[in-house]
Amino acid sequence: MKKMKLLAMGAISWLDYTIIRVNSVLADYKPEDIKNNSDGTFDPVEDAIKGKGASAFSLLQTIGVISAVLTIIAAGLGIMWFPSANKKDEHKSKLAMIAFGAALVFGAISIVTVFMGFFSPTGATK
Amino acid sequence: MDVVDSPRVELLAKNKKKNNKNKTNTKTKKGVLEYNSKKSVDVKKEITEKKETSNSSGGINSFDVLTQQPSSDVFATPREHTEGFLASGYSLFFTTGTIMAILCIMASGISFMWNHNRNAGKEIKHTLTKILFYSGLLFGAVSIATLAYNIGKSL
Repeated sequence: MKKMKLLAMGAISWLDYTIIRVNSVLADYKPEDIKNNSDGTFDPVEDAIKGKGASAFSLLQTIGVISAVLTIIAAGLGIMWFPSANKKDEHKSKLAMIAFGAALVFGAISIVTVFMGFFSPTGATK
Repeated sequence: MDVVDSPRVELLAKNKKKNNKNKTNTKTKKGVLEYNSKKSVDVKKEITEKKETSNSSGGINSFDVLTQQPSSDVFATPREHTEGFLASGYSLFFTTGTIMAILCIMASGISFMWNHNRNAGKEIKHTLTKILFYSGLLFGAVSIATLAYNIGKSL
C-alpha cells in the first residue's frame, strides 16, 4: 500500500513534467492561477502563523541541539564505561540513530524544499 | 390515328385530372382548414430538417456558447472576489502546511535521538513515508488539479 502511494506520487510528478507542459489548453482560469491572484484576505492570519511557526522552529532547533549534545555525551560515556564488545556495539548503533535524528532536525528545511520541488515543479506559492 | 386519341395526350389529360384532385379548394371553409393544416405540417417538417442540419454541423445546439467570451459578464465582480479569496486561502494552507511539515520532521528527529528501541528502523520508515505522502498531497495539489483539468479538457 505504501509502495503504491509512493509510486502514485512519483507518477503524478512525472506526468506534471511531461503531459501538462505539452498539453496547453486555453481557458480563463487554470488551477495554477490560484498561486497569483491572492487578495490578502487571510494575510493577518498567515502572518500570525508564520510568526508562531518561526518561534516553534527556533524552540525545536534549540531542543535539537541540546538533545544532540546530551545524547552524544551519553553514548560516549556508555562506550567508555561498558567494557563488553556487545554493549559497545549497542552504543555505537545508538550514535548512528542520533546522527540520523540530528540530520532530520537540522536539515528539515532542506528536506521540505526537496519535497516541494519534487511534487510541485512549477514552483511554490511564496 | 386521331391526334386526340394518341396515348401521350391521354396521359396528359389523366395527369391534369389528378392534379386538380390534389389541389385544395381554398374557396370553401373545409378547403381553407385543409390548406392550413397541410401548411403547418410542412413548416414543422422544415424546422425539424433545419434543426437536424444545425446539430450535425455543431452549430446552434452545441455548448460552444458557454466557453466563449460572454457578451455581458454579469458575474465578473463576484468571480474576481472568489478568485482572490480562494487564492488567499490557498496561500494560508500552503504556508501552514509547510511550517507544519518542517516542525514535524524536526520533532521526529528529536524523538529518534532519545528513543532507541528495536523497532527504530520500522518507525523511521513509517514516519518518513507518512511525511512524504502528506507533503506530496500538500505540494502537489495544484499539479494534481492541473492534471485533472487537462484530462477533462481533452475529453
